[in-house]
Amino acid sequence: MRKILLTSAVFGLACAGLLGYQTVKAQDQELSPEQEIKLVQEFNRMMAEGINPGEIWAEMGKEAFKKYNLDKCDFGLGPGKVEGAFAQLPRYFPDAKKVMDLETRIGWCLQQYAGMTPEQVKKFVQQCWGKSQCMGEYDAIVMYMSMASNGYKVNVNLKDPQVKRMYEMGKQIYYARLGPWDFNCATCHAGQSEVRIRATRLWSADRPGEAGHAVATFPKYLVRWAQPMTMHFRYSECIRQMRWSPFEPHSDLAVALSTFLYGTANGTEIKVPSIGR
Amino acid sequence: MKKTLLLGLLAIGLVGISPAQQKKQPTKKEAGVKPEEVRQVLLSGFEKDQRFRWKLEQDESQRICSQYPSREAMPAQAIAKVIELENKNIKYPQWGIFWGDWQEGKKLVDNPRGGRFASYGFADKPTDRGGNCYACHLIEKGVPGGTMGPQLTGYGKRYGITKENMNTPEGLEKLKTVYNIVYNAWHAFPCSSMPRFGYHGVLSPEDVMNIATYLLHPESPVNK
Amino acid sequence: MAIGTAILRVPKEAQKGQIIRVQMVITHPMASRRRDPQTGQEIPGHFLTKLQLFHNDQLVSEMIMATGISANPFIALPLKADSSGVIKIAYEDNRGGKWEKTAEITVK
Repeated sequence: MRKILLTSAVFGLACAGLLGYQTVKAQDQELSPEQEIKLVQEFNRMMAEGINPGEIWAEMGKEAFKKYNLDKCDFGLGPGKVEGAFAQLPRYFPDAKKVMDLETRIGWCLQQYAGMTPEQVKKFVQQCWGKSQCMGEYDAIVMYMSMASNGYKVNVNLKDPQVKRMYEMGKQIYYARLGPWDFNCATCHAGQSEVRIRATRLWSADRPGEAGHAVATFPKYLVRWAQPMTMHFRYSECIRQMRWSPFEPHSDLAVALSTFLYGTANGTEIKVPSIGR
Repeated sequence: MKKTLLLGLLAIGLVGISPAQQKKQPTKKEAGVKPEEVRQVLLSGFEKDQRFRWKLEQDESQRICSQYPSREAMPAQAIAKVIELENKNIKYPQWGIFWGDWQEGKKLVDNPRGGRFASYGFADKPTDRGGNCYACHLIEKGVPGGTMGPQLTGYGKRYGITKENMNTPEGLEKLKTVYNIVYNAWHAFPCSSMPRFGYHGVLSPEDVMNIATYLLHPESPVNK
Repeated sequence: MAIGTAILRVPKEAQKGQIIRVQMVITHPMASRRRDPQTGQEIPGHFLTKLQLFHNDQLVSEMIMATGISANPFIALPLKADSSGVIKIAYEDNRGGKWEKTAEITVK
């Protein structure tokens, strides 16, 4: 028993010592921007090991799913079938007569089966936006549904004419310059050369595989806000940073962007959640 | 015999030209979706807040740039059209070109705030003003920045501006060139990723003058 | 989910003498003690203070924590598996919260 205590204490001390030494070493000298960025990337890599705190939301989501009667909701594979549903979204839904992605479909089903009005749905969706350590039920439901497709490959049916139409719209919107800063999605997320914005490396829709890697790992747990970030929140934040007008979640714009991004990501293995600063 | 040969060559020539014309507008022709539909979908994605509807108007240059994924994909006429339009969109301060205050310029270059609105937390104040230059550029030595735009460290030194020649006509001409780029980047780099700060009123002409001074002045930390 | 719920993960089976990793994630804001910038009032922190790891009711590791640890901490502790049984973590925070969580392991 003493041996075990001693081993773990020494192990813990060694780890703390190593980390402490590294941080002290880093503070001793002036680091160049490249070196600082390497440290940040190493930090990101270390964070990806172990259990992702986002899984707590997945457990919460399982209960919230039943609470809001979402087991009656058809996500494309039959009512209540959750495994692999996220992998084939966005898709066309004949009952709603539109193409919908995961979050839009959840919003629609909340209106159908949980008796919410569109305003209530919007409030429900945005309950955690701008907050920290917010245990939101909506984020939990999205996390639960996304994690249920872990291991599946993204499989958006681009042969469906409605989906194809949304894909093309998303592509055009991706390149549409708008707003007082003349930004579009392609300003940051296109091009062949590897660039970064401040210290963050940017993925590009023109370099194969990167869009898939970025998109098939959402929702992403963010350490700075201690909560997960869903796709529509990510759109809202990008749109805010582009100095565009404020974003309306679950809109056709979101569906068009999702169809374009998930369509480009076809074939990527889903590994939710990812973790980042 | 000669006639058939000539006709044959003509036919091949015509067939050869049309695919080339189609390639010039890749996103539009293959799309099958009309620009009006795209615009509808785009507008549906924003809150009904009337305060920010003005942000959704596209001007002529933005419309042209939206049709191509990058400047490399643009035909010469489109590039020339944007340059022509943007050269008309440059305004100068009341006092013309002068060496401004580089300390004020530094504040604007460092500041990432301004213009970002949201109904949930994180909105900038309406009085925030800044260029967020470090997002895309490396400017002062040792300060982390992005690599989307060219490096600007030692910009004034590289331009050959010294205390002796800064007030000569050539020095002021160089200042004017940099002013033009910061005010309206598209007049020289059409459809660039760089926003047209002055044209859109994000920065006033005096602000742009201060920023250009910050980049070029021999005393500025950029050139030390 | 309430503050203090945890996910505890241990390998289901292990060889005798093998060192396994006991991984856990605990929901907790880990807020530091600070002053409200507007009123000057002190806001006491809310953070985990102690974590104990038990193997078949024997105390194996004890970890004293404070505000330096980030919110929703992920903690991995090594444990030498020598007998089958129950692995338990017991943790408490500075506002009197006390929780426990168990998991079973079979050692061959």
